[in-house]
Amino acid sequence: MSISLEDQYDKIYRYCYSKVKNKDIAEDLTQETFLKYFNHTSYINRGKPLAYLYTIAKNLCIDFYRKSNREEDLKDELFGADDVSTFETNFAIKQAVSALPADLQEILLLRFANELGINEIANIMEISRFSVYRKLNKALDILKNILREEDFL
Amino acid sequence: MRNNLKKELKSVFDVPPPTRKNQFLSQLNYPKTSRMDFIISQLGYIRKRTWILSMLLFIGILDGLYFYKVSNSFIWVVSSILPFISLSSISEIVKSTTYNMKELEMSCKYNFLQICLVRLGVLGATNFMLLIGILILFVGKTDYSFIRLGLYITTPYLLNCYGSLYVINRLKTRMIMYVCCGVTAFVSVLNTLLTIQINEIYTEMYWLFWPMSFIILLLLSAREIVKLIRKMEELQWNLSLTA
Repeated sequence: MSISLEDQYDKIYRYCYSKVKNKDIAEDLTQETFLKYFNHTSYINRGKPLAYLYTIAKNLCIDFYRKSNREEDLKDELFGADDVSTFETNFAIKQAVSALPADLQEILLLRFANELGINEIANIMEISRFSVYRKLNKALDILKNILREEDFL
Repeated sequence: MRNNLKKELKSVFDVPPPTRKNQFLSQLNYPKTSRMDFIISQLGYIRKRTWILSMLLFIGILDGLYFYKVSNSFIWVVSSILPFISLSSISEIVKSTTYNMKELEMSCKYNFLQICLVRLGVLGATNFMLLIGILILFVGKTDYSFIRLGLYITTPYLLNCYGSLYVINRLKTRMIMYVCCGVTAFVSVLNTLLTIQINEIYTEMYWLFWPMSFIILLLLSAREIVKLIRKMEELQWNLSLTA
C-alpha cells in the first residue's frame, strides 16, 4: 500500500494533537514521525506502512510525555474540556468524548476522524479485529447514554 | 441516531490547521516509486484471463506445429485466431476507459493517461513477443520467409486492432465490449472466408496485397491510438461519480 503524504500528514498531525493538545508540538512530532518513517525504508515496502507510521507517532508522543513528566496527563486528558465549540451539540459530544477512557477516544479518532479500516486500527492498536468492533460499539453506546442523559439525542 | 452521531464525531476531532505542512513536505526526502515498480504494480491488475488466453493460444499453436502437418490452412487458422488475442488486450483498454477502476484510483499518483499507456505497453509487448515466438516456430516449418509469414499472420490482427480502437474511440456505451467481440468475430470469419475462397491468397499473385494492407492498417491503427490518447487526456478522475 502506498501512502499519500498530504493526507497522512493531516491525519498523523490530528493524532498527535489529540495526544499533546499543542499545535506546535503536535506538528513537530508529526514531522519527526515522517522523518523516522522514511529512515527505515527497508520496512516500508514489506510491512504494514500505516500501522508503522501510527506506531512511530504514538511512541513519539509517549516519549514527549516521559521527557516532560506528563504521562498522567496523556492518559487522563486526551480531549480536554477546554475545546469549547460554538455549536452546542458539538460541544456536548466533545464533552462526552472527553469522558471516555483514553483507548476508546483513540479508537473513535482513528475510525471516524482519520477514517481508518478495522484491520488498520487493529494493527495500530495491536488488538484483534473483534476487540476493535467491541470497543467501537462500547464507545458509541457510552456516548449515546451520556448524550441521552443530557437530552441531546 | 447512531449515523448522525458518527458524522458529528468527525468534527469533534477537528484540530487547528498545521502551519508548516507544505514547507516540510516540499523539503522531505523520501524514496519515490521507480518507473519499473509502477509497471510491475500494473501487471497485477491485468486480468488473469488475458494471460491465460495468450498462453492457451501459444500452447495450442505449439501443439499444432509439432503434432500436425503445417500447411497453408494452418496459417489461416492461426491468423484467424490471433485477433482474439488482441480482443483480450482490447478488453483491458475498455475496462480502463469505460469504468473508473479502483486500481486506477489507487494509483492516482500517476494520471489516467500514464496508467493506460503503461498497461497498453505491457499488453502490446506481450502480444508482440507472442507473435514473434509464433513466427520463429513457424518459419522453420514452412517455405515462407519470416517477413512474409509475419505479414500473413499480423494483418488480420492489425485489422482487428484498428476495428476495435475505432469502436472504442467513437462509441460511448458500456456495451462497447460486445461490439468489440463482434468486430473480432467479423475479422476472424472474414479472414477464414477470404483464405478459403481465394486459394492463391498466400501466393506471389497477391504479394502486393499483404504489405499494402499491413502498412495501411498499421497507419490507421496508429491514428486511432493517437485519438485514444487525446481522448484520455480529456478524461478526469471520478468523472462518472461527480456527474
